[in-house]
Amino acid sequence: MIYPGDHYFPTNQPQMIAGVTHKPPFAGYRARMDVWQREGAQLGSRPLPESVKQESYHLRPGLACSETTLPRSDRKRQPEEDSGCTPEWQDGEQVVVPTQKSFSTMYMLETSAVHAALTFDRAGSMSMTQQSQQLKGSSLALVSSQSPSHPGVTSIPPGVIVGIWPCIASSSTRSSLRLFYQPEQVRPSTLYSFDGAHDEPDETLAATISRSASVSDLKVPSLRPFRPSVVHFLSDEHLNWREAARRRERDDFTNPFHVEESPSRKTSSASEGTVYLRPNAFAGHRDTLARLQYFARSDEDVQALTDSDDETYMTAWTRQPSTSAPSRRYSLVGANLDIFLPQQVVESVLSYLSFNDYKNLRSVCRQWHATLPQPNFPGAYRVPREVLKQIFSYLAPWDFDAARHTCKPWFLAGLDCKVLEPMLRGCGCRSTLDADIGRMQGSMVAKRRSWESQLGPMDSDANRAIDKEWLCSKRLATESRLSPHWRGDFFSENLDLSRRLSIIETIDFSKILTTSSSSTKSRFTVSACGKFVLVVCGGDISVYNLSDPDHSPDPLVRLATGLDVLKVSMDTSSERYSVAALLAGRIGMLWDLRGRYIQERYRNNSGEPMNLGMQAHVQSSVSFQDLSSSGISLPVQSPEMVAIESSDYSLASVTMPSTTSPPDAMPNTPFL
Amino acid sequence: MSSENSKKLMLQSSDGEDITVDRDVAEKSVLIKNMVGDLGEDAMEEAIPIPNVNAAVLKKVIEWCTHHKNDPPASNEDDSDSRKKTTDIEEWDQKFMQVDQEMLFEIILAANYLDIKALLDVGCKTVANMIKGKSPEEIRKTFNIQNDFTPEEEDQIRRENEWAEE
Repeated sequence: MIYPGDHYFPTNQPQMIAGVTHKPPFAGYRARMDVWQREGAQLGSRPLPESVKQESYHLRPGLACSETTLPRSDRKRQPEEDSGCTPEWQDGEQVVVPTQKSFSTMYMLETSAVHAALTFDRAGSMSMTQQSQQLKGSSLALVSSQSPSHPGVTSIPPGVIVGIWPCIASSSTRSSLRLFYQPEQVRPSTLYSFDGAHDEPDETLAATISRSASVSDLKVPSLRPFRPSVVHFLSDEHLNWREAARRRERDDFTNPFHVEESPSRKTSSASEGTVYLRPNAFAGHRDTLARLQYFARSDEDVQALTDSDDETYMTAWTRQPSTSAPSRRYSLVGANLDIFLPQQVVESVLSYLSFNDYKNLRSVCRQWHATLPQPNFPGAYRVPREVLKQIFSYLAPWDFDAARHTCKPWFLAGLDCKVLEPMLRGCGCRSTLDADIGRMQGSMVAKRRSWESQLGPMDSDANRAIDKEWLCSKRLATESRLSPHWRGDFFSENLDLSRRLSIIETIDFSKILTTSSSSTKSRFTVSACGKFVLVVCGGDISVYNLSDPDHSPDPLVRLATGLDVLKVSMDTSSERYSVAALLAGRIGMLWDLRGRYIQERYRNNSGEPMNLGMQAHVQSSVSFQDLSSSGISLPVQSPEMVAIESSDYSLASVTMPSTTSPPDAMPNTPFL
Repeated sequence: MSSENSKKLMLQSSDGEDITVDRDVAEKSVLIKNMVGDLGEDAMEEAIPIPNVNAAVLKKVIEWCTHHKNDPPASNEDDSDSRKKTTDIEEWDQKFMQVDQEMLFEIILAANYLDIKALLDVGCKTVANMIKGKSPEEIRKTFNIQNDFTPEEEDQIRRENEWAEE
């Protein structure tokens, strides 16, 4: 564990720190510190060994004088062969300016790194004393100027380093902290060194990077401008800070560590081992998640991060760094929970946010995504797609059409030919779908010919260009909309207006079921005119009048078919009182029901044979009676028709069947 | 039955509760059945972790498996033809599925995870019956689903019926 106030101690042995063996590059000194408790730590310093001091001032020619501003892409990777210098940590040549994300990596300090850091931007341009003097203007001066016994040597208390770091992250070159990093000795949790200030006027961020990048042979993490994130719950104080960030982007540097900034204190109850930036690194740190703004980045930055090796800094938050950079990127996602805000605070903040804001928060970065509590979706959201498809398979086409328009996951689950085609086949639209596909293919072929005549031959296949799922979806939507079961648009919230059918009256037919002695299941079919209901029970068809105010349980007429009835239909909208039935064995039957009134009126234009497109009988009641001794005691007025006037309810009691036709009775009418 | 079927298996739910169950009941789950077959008898001395199912749901699943332990194994016929499918549910299963919606979906997810096809069918039929006859908005209200179609996606869905929209 790292604690503040720990002293440097010489070691030549590999040290196990945070689960990773650190082998000092040379007779190193290691400082251990805890950033959180740095404020309570004494700022006392210890001098570096003389041997280290001597090496610390050694500079290689050509390393420090380059001020070439490299483009951003060049900053991402610096080819090793371009360096012209051998990476030697002892010489302090490995100079890298880490990104602002890496400031949390500094809770371990090796004095060797510190020693190496004591190099200057410009070779020989200043002495260590000058550096120490200039450091007085910055927070680092607290360190360098307080080494009475070793005035030329900077010894760094742990907390100071961490406190300084954001200065660099915010592109301050006035305070000019330079962070030195050696990728060849990957220690993501280790800050190796820094240097002092220089007397140059404010420079842009790129200039700072360029000097670091000039010390090539290193992978230079790209320093990115500090960008405000998408979180909207910042205070005015933080808004001011964001404005300052914008000014920095315009090269107008604003030091967020200016002494006039109100000092801030840690308000979080995070664990004592939390590695954190300096509390007053920016003004809005007291606002709950606002401090995490530091880790937010724009999409551009995310892309840049993906393309570079800089993720080592992002993941270097952990105190258990991996030794391999590629795996570190992924292995540390959930390992830095202790640096996040307390759960109570997060939950409190989230309670004020909408779900969209919550989703935005989870999209900010890996850490937020891993740390923010998982959403608790309703069970319907968690059903996998294959189960959804199974649920859809139990639905009628119109119900499936409604279900798939419920939400996007359900729609995507239903957008599958394996679901759509059986559904269309079930509602008898297979041929229509084939026609749609053929029409689309013809259209595509015509278009291709047109293009080929203009642009030359093309190697496109019309079948590939056809979106079969979309055609199935369109056909299903059309058929569902034409269906009487259609329940409304997917986007209409006014259910009453969107429904094509509405309930105007409820009729209890339970009495019918109780009076029925048959054990077979009854099926109800309402006539197309809406005046009658046809109850099919086995081979019997009972016709009930829906307009009867008394809702009598007695049927108007009962028709015995002798065969299983598959489908039954009736429509009196054209004043024709007929019942059509599709029976087993591909047989169709048609009854004209005539009463005395209707008999006189429609005698001549009813009962004509109908071509049902199959082996069909147009069954007159007379022949029906002759064949099957039907129990329908209709007042037969003619040998071809029996009809009952719909309003003549006197027949209802008369026609109550006492017997039904035997099951094996077959109509004996000639085939049409 | 043989003595093998009287053996007990211990299932450990996601919340750490150990539930002892007859082996023939537990093997209604194809997942557990395969696990027992692959690992052998000796490995079954320890509790079998069921990390995706909590104790309450696991008990419901075991209750269903216990009731249906003597059911014949489901045929492997291809039931992809939806015309053959009905949503009729046995009376006992109907009462079994009279739970709150979260539990219903948890049972479905557990049946899917444990690979209990018959229970999954019952769950899917129950949900299908809840969907039947409802408009999309009514389905959303029933299952507490948010309409997350973007305006562009809604426009595309409208184009499914562009003939009717014009």
